[in-house]
Amino acid sequence: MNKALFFMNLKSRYKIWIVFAVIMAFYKLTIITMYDPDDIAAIDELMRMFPDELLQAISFVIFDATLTGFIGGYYYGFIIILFPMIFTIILSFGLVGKYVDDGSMAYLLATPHKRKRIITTQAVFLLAAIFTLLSFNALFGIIVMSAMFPGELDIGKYLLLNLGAFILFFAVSGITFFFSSAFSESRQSLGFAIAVPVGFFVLDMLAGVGDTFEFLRFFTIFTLYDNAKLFPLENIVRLHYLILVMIGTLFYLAGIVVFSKKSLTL
Amino acid sequence: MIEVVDITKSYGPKRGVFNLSFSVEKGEVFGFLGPNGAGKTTTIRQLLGFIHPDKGEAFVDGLRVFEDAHVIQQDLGYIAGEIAFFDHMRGKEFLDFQARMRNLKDFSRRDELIERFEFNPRPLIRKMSKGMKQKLAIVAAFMHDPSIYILDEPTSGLDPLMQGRFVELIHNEKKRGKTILMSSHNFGEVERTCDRALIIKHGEKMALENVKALKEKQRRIYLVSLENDKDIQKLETDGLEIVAQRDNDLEISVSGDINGFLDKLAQCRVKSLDVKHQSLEEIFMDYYREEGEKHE
Repeated sequence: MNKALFFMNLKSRYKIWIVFAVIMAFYKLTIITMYDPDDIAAIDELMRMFPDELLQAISFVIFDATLTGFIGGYYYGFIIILFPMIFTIILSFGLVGKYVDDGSMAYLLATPHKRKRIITTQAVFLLAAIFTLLSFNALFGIIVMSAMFPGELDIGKYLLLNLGAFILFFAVSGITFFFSSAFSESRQSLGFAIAVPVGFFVLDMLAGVGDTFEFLRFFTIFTLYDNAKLFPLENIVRLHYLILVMIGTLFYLAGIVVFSKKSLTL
Repeated sequence: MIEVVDITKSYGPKRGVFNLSFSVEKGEVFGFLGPNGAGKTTTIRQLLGFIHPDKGEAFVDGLRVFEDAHVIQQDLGYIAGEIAFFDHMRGKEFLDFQARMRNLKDFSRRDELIERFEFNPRPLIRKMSKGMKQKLAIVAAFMHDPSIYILDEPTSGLDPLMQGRFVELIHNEKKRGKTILMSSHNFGEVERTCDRALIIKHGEKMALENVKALKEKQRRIYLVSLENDKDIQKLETDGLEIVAQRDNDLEISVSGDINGFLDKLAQCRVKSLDVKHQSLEEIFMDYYREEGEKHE
């Protein structure tokens, strides 16, 4: 870890963090406001206006009639994937791939620090940014829900939803970080960092549509974040989270090792 | 201080560097000359530990350039051939950031350099002109007062006045015992600053010469316009080498000492006199032609 570099990152990226934090909070507020404990059927009716396949694809289905089940479906099915994914792609490319592509990486490496230290700092920063983004979002939800519906939120389950989201993005960001670090040209570093998670995302949506494409869920890591298994809690969730942690660790380490050894045309 | 031992880094035929060896002594200003695409930057990137050679090795101050890059960097100043900064920063912010990366506390050198180059570090880097960015790169490379410099085309984009200031700076650093490796495609610049020059073309070493000797051997073409034709014959019989002629405009080639040429010219009525601008390659071609003639 290098403090100077970490703070340089912070200074140049805090704005995008705020933008995503605000957008995600806005959506969360909207969805919480839609919850009506006395008339969950009304929402269900509203949702029936949309084709069933679409709702299935974007996991826009509630798990049970409780507040936790409600936002677990309507927020943690789609929005918690979409926005952090865009954030992760932008940031992981911006922290490494972009600097390599435009040559400014030379000014990070032409300093008395090992390459490994520089790249590890970028990895730590990326993870810290994602962790704080999701933590802020989780905390915001707790505050809003306990104000609007005191006592209705199952905090344990809610935290599990958020923990799962962070673990998922630990894995996703590991993958985007790896591509950002392993390739030298933005065509590839950014290309793969977009294509792979978006590809997984699309496969996950297709797998949700119906039996025809159900087998696709074995080809995407997003199915490992399966919140239906939290209502009620199943043991397999532990295994899923463990696999995601392993994927993330592997790709982060691979990114650091490859970057520390490779030739960089700076 | 800097040692390159038989490195090859190939990007295809005639692209890259091939079997290149040279060494730069402590306290020496070493010129690295060659046309664009000759392999200067490829060599320098290896010295910085950015790219691995296909074969061979290089050392700076006895340290391995790739593995020990972070140690070498403590005492190295570098200017890249294709400079890219962090565009979102202001010049000042960038210098502060680099200072923090180097744990630099004494800013007197930085301020001195900013003054020397009349540089304004306040604007956003992306709004700076090419010349301003080059000044920023110079300040960043020199402000921590390292004892070794590796500079890839350090004056590109600078106006002649600032190029002059840069030459002064190099002279000062040399006096202070610094070791400098400097690439250029400008012969004049190397001539004014360097002790020795390595000339490469298509990635291969063509010559390693004392700059003074190179200068003496250099052939210059003078463009002379005469008032009347009689003088042309006179110059011809005087033994000057007239390489081209159009009416009363002559191109005369002179090697080494120019006083003989000037004496002869003084006896004619001259309308104008100019030096023909020669590209680096022309200078080398002349240089090698002469070498060839000597051997025959």
